[in-house]
Amino acid sequence: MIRLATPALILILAQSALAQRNFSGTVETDPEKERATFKMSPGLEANLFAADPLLAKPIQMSWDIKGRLWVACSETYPQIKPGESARDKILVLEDTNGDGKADKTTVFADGLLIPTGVEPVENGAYVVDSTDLVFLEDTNGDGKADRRTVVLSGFGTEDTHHMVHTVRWHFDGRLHFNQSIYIHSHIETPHGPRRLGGSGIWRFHPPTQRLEVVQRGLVNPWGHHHDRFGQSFATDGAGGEGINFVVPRAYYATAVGAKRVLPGLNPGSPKHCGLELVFSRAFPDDWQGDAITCDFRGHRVCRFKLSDDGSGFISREQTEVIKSDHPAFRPIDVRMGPDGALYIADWFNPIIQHGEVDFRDPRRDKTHGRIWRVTASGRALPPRNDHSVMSPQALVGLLGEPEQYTRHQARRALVERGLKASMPTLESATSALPKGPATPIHLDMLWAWQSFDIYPDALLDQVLHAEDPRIRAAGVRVLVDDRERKPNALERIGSMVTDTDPRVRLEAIRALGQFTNQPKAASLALKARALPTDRWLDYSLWLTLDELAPSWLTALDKGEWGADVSVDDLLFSLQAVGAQGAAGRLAGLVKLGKVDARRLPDVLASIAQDGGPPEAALVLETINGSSFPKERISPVLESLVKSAISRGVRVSKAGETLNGLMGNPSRDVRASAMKLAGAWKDDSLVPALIKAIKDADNMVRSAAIEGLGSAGTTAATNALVEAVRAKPENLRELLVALVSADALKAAPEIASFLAGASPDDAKAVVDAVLSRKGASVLVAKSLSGAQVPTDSARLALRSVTGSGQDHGALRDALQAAGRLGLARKGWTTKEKNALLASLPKADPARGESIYRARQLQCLNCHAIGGSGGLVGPDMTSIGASAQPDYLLESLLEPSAKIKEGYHTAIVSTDDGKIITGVKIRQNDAGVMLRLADGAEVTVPKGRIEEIKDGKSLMPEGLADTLTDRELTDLVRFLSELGKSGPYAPVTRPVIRTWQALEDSPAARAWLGRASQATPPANLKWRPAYSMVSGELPLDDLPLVDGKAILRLPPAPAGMGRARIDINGAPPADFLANGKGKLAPGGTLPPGSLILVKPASSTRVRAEWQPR
Amino acid sequence: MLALMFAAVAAGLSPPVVPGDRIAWLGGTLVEQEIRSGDWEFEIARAFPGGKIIIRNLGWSGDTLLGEARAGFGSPTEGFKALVSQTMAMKPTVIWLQYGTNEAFAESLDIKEFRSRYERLLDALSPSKARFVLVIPPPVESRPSPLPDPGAVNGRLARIADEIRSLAASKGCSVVSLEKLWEGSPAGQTTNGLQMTPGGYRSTAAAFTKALGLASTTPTPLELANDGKETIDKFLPSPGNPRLVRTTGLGQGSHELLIDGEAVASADAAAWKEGVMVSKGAPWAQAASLREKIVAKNMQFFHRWRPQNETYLFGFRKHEQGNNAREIPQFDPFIEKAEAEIDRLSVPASVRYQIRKVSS
Repeated sequence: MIRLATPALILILAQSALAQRNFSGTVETDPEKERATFKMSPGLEANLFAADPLLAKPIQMSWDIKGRLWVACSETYPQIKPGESARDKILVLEDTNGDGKADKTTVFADGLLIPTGVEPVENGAYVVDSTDLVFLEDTNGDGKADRRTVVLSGFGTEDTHHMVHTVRWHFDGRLHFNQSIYIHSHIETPHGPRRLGGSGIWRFHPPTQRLEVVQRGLVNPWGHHHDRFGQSFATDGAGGEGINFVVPRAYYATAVGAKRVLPGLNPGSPKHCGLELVFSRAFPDDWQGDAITCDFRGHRVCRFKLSDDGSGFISREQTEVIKSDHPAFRPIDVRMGPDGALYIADWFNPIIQHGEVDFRDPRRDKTHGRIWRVTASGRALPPRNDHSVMSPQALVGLLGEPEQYTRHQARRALVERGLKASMPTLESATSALPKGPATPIHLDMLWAWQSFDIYPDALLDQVLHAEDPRIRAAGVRVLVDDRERKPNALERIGSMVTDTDPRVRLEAIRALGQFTNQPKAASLALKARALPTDRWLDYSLWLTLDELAPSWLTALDKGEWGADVSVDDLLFSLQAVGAQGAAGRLAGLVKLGKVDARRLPDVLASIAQDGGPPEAALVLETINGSSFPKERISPVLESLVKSAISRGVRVSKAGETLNGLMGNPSRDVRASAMKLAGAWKDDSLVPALIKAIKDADNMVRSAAIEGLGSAGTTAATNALVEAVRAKPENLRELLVALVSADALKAAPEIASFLAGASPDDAKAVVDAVLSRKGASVLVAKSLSGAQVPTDSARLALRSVTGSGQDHGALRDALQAAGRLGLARKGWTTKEKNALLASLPKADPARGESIYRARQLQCLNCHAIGGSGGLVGPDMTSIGASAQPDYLLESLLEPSAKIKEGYHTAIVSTDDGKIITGVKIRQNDAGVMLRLADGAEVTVPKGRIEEIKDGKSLMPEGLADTLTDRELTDLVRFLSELGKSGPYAPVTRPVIRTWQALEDSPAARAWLGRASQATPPANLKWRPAYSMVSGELPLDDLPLVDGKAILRLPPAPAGMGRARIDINGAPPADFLANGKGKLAPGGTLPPGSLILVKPASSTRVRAEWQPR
Repeated sequence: MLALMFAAVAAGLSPPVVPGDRIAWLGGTLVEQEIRSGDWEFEIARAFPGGKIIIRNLGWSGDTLLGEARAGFGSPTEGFKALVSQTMAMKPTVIWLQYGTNEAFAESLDIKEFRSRYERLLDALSPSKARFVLVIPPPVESRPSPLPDPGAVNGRLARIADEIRSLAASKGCSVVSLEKLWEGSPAGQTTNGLQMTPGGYRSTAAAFTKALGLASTTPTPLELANDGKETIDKFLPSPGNPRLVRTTGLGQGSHELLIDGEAVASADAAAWKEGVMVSKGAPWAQAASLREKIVAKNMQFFHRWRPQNETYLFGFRKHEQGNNAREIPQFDPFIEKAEAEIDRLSVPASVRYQIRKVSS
């Protein structure tokens, strides 16, 4: 009996585990039924090009010059099993009769381990095979690879969906490929080892084996393509900024070692995979140049319109190419094909990724995959060519075709044929080009030459003199590749820094950054300052100065640089490179009196920010001088305070000067000087600070208290204790200062304070305790037996559980003192399953209002569509990507699964502070963290004692305050996000983040004035976020004299006025260059104020109008 | 072979490999990429039939004496820690260190610094009690333009080689020099000077064995009896390396050679007298199986020590997918099984050779 019973028991357990994971039911696998779910952009249609069993699990696809589609497929993903051999494949799909359907499939290669990229060439293909980039070759013409050559090795595999991907030839004849955030690659090349930690784009030239990094950052840069003029764009499979304009060698979010990063073009956008720009007569005119990418989480194929904006671009989302609610439709790659149609690889899987879902989750699909083909109904397709059989003359003749596919493959065919075969044709075609202004065909020809690493002078010259600035800009990028052989390259490029066109200037500035051993490149780049700048130019000049800093700083010190640089440019340059030792040099210029009065305050602030003690002393001395503008003293002092606290930069023997400033007529100066006196731990000034605890001016009083806290001397501590015991009105700030000075003495005082503290006060003091090493245990001990008001304890507890650190003792003490009872200790599987089973009956609309409720504060940390806090991941399409069991678990146990990019770091500093936040970036200067309140701080490298991995910043037990029904509504709402329906991502440019005026006496006084032209600075605003639909409910907004007062945000790039619709309220007033009544559907400029007298359920919706 | 080993011992140095060794082999691309060809490792197995030699290839592209390629998310210091802990975990009896290639690309090579880094690594590995073998890396192979001229790098590599020799002498470690690795094989064993072509490891296996002081890869000729009787022979060739087989006194006409009953070559009497190159039959099949097993073992071991998804299995996201780390030790039985096979296949089987007249 026992023998029989045991296996039966195991079987039952296994089945229940399976049932728990597999609750979402089966997935419809019929391609025709999948296609029926597609909502196509008007005028487009989709047909099935290929499907399982011809292929399974496509990852990347690419066309060869014959017009055959190569597809990298992996059934092994996410992880090989012990004892298994790698068995993934490269397939070649052919449509031999041109009917838009693949009719022949060849397994070109197998035995591969999760091949994440494929790019064909003659007789073979470059393939990413885990750690190696290999060239698989068919040497006997049977269509199957029989020779495997490792081209480059040492690519990281720390995450199998981060491994090298997006492998494709670009216009320049170089192979580009990307890696994602967790990857660390170490590649040996004959030019030396090349290393890249974190995300970035590589560029590789096989004949010369030159390998370089051309972009750094983004989380998962899973798409990269270029426009007609070689400007390139990237998409991000885990970042939320849509299309990114790739400035050469620029840094983007997450880049390792970045000092400054560039943003994407569509902030608040869902995550995207793949990228292709449309250039095809098979699509309508207004589609040409549009970027197509895939929102694989939201089952959408998206379209963005790109247009010029200064040196950069604007990107506007359009109606989707395809929208679906099929749970397994996962578009992940997109390419224009040989017939002018758009091809989309569909990975077909209800489960995406393997970070949050178990490697061996049985719901992972391993056998399906589709390629869809999209065409515009009724439009003729361009002619289809087999480039492999065309003569060089015929290939050159295709360089003027409208289809980028055709031009690209013609160039590839010329390259694959080899220089010897193609050169005569290229030469005669080049000399036959029109001699006038260069056209895009000249550029195509130049790129063909560049592929062979040949740069004909006359053609290059013509391109650099093109009338079309986009062609000139492209020319600069070509020229810089040949800088070592072109004797006048530096001067040529330098002369283009002052081009009339901003994009040409940008290319020239960035190209100069390549002349790393020529200090002159920096002075040439600075000439761009004479012309107007913009976001991209400003960044580019900074980056170029930074890249060139080792060379021009050395030359400057030797007196060999700067003769042709104005003092203003020199100051700009030194401020730009900041931490690289600029402070000392800036200080030198100040001493020599070379900095004019207008710039002096900014320069001193820079010196204060980056300099050491001698520079700090100089700064103090200079601002104390009689000619220094009085109103600028306090901000510079604050910079010194910051450096003292964050970097430990302190000046001794400054007591006299500080003492003088502490008596300055300006209260701002007095206050800042007191903070500095404390931060510099000047014993001689402590008595004055103690005296100032009772200063009549509350600003000065607070500064003195803060100063005493930073001073931390025995006298300071004793004074603080004494002040605390007097229980004055400002007890809270005294305690905050005291815990910073001496946690042991502070603990009993804090415990007794908490006994009567308001929730806000309790939270503020507990936050201070949490940021002090060892303080929480002391306070917990002092709290033993004490009582704290329940609401105060609850709010303080939220700080504790959301600190990302383990403060078990304080948590328990607050729970006991607040009589909160014990938090619910985990949910049983049965309870969770019961909740999940009731989801179909739950109400997502109610869920949304729970999400928005102030008590839960979801929105403070988690934006939807870019609207809301940045502390946690954006929820835009979470429902389409995450399974409900994952969502529920994340609510119940926030630390169980943490999204990439949101892991916390607990940083302890050498002065006893603890700072916890999400690590945004780390570089030579230090670690930058985003704190739970959204603030960003940099902890300098020199102060860091230890960095530990932390827990989630999401407070545990948040869900404990919800009823089961509320919890299911919330999960239901989250699970609807991104699915088609009312909670799908909105492609229209609706305004999601508003500013709402807080009620205050100042606000009421202002509203009561005859004119409200400019709101005064002392009004307080808080962010207000629209619902997923784009509507902003006014129910829970603050009212000032019965009116909700909303401020329109600044307009995004390319947008002008906003159209406002108000439902359920009388016509509103507006303030924008005067006062007026808002007509229904009227438009207002950015920054305008709208005054609405809301009724219940009044909602405001606003949408930007293109400029 | 014994004589050469004896020479090394006589000079007071331990040989680079002895039966029963567990070799931990450290280095960059050239070491790492050997795992897929197995050609060099094959020669070690072949030199020690049934010698139970275990090879743990810990090569990592781009690596240096600082363990730079192994730092993962950590600081460079952690790369060094990883290099040491990965090596110690192998419980090696001998450690082969093949460093210098990447260091030689630094124009400002500081040879004193190179030596002190080397010493630091040896010190850190000394608790293993393993023997150290300092492997001098080969020069970067010279390849035609547009690939760069490796002259300057090789100049620095020569200085590195001298320094390694001097270091080995002071520490009493043995040296294996791959400086002559490219000699004896046609130009173009690498694609770019560093990365072997598909046949590169095989072509350079002879130079590699020579550098290690192992038996030559050139098979000794086999003389067969001409009396129609079988000759029993035990010999394991290197994969693809032909062996000269000859016999005299055969009658007119065509004669074929049977190995274990399988006809593998046919020639007339005069040709058999001169000798016929044979590269087919049971010994070569055994060689092919041995190489295959070595590669299979290497791949299982690679997934074991350098698995994909390390971030989730052991890194800072192990709280999510760390449960799957239990699979990683499950590679061990497969590695051990392959190793037993390797040891078995390294012993040449007894094979029957027979010459038979081909009936006309």
